[in-house]
Amino acid sequence: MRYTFFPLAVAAMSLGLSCAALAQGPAGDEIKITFDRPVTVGSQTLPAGDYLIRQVDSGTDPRVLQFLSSDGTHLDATVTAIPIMQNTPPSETKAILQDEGGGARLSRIWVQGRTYGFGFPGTAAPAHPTTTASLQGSYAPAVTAAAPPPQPQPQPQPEAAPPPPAPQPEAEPAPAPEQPAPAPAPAPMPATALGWADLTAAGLTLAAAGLLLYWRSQRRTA
Amino acid sequence: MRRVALGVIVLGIVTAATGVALRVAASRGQAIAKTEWDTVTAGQERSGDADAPARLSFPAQGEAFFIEEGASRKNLLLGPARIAWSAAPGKSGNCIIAAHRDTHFRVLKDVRKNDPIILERQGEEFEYRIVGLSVVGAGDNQFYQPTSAPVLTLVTCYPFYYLGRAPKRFIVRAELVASNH
Repeated sequence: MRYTFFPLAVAAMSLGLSCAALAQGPAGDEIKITFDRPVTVGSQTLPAGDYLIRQVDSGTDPRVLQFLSSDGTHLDATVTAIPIMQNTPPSETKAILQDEGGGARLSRIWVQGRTYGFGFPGTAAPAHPTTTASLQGSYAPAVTAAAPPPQPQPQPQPEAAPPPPAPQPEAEPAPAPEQPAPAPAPAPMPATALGWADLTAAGLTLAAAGLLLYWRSQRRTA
Repeated sequence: MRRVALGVIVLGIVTAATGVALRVAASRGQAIAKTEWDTVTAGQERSGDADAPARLSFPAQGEAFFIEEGASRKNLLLGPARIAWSAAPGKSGNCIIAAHRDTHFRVLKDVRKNDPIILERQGEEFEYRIVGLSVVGAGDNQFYQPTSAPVLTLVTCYPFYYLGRAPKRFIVRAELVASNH
């Protein structure tokens, strides 16, 4: 019977291993944040939980942010943010939420040690009075040097910051219509191994093992 | 015992036949795509839609493939597939095409730096030149980032000969050098 189990195992392994890995790693600046309630980001509402916010190098002026699962494997939302500025770099990374009666909406993200942040324009005139809440996060600068940076990257100097929409610090960005991301978001690559040769080889091995078993059983009965 | 043996034989034959069928489907998919390509190019149709057929050629290797739109499992079975969110062929941005290492993109093991790659679509022809070959981890997405310049990124699994799930990715990066558009 061991002649049977081995080819079976080979066949099962061939079936199971014929797909390539679906994964991706960090590429741009990353912010980790925990939403303690459902939060509307752009046109999508994300459930409470841990998120990895990654800046996409889109090569255009608007800042495209990806909201991914905490392990970075699942893309939950892609939003175009507006650059905002303040004179004093914050001591911690934080997300500013606005409660608009029906739920919280992500309004701004300030980045630790940076004079710039990301604004997320909402409705021009919210139906309910808004209250502001702050959530802490963590920030990690880009670690890869391979990705070409066609757009200005975050710099610690105020004068090197991206073009501000308004000179006043802490100014709420002017409401603007949500724009689709100008550059599509990178997502995990598909599996790129068909595994046809694995399957064929495993099948032939299995068939040979079956023939061997059949021959042995014939000999025993004879 | 004899029944078990017969069952194993049947299972083996079915498994092997599945493998052969996948390989046949990969070839058949390209044959169907070629027919569609010939029809479109003969009629000089310029539909302008995103699903217009495209052809990817490797002149130095004498190979050509017809590109599927969207890298679903079915499309990847039939041929190289452009990642849906990547840039269109010849346009500014990063055009990413993926294919299986054991069928259509086995050719990538033979390409060299400075080899030409031709992408044709709707009467337009874009010539790319290979500027780099890289092997990266499956989770490394540095080559999939959007770019401002028109580049072509070909992706397949690596090593090319590997039993089961290959742990790395082979990346061919090419830059647009000429266009008839």
